[in-house]
Amino acid sequence: MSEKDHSSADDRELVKAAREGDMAAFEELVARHRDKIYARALSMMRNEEEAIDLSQEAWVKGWQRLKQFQGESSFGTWMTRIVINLCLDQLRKHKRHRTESIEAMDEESGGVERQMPVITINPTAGLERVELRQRIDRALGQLSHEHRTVLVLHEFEEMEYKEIARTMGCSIGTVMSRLFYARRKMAALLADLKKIE
Amino acid sequence: MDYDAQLKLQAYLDGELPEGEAREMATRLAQDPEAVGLLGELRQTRQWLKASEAPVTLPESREFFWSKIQREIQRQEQPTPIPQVPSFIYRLRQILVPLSAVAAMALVGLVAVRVAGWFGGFGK
Repeated sequence: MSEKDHSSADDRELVKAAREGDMAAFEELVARHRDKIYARALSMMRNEEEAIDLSQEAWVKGWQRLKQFQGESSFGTWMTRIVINLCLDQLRKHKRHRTESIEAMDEESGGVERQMPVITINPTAGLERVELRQRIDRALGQLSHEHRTVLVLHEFEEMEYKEIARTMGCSIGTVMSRLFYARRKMAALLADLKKIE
Repeated sequence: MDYDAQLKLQAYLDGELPEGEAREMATRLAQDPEAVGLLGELRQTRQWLKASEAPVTLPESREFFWSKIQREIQRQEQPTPIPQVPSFIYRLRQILVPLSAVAAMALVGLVAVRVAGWFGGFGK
């Protein structure tokens, strides 16, 4: 495949060429999917530098594991799984150096999310889309790594409970508890923001 | 609603309940306003999140980012030097040389003791 063909080739053709050692084809794949991979790393790590480093590492691993990609999912999804696993490894390293979060202790002890009243709010009223995104992003930033990860994997990656459990190395019950806590916490955080307005 | 029921409600929303349990939950929702309220809250949170993911751009140029990846791939693909295994003769020499030195010193010592014994005998 000549270099000028790369931009018009589809991902399948580029993967095939990259598998045969065509680095220019792989570079085109990187160019196409780099923002998506970086965005996923950033949503999990909440740190630009770490997200860039982990994205880079994911691409290197992607090159090394190309032969394992069988096309069962899209190439972008396959790469996203690689970066998610790298982020989870990194978060586990962070956890070893951190004391247990108050949120995690809350969840273990039967935290507020089990008893809190149902919140019915409409935070979109009067808010621009950009501002709404910023508010939701700030609320996400207030969750622990574990709770944010389970939300990201379920809501953005649309992974099922059992796949999340496998990816995070925990039970399905833990996934369900964390997801429930995270959702209720988000609702509570956004309710508070609405009241301040 | 107890906690288990709340988690089941969440699983119902996420399409994770087996068919029979999903039907039971649907029946409960027809009669339980608390369940309906909680379902509404969970559904809304899910909708906000789906609407919130903004496009993000990696803050490095295409060329720079790629150059780092390429460099790392090439570094990892460098063949690692095969460590030289010492030959049998080399290893034997490593053992024999110090052994020979020890044996020589022992011999010198023995001879010295014998010579000292002879001189001692002449003096008597």
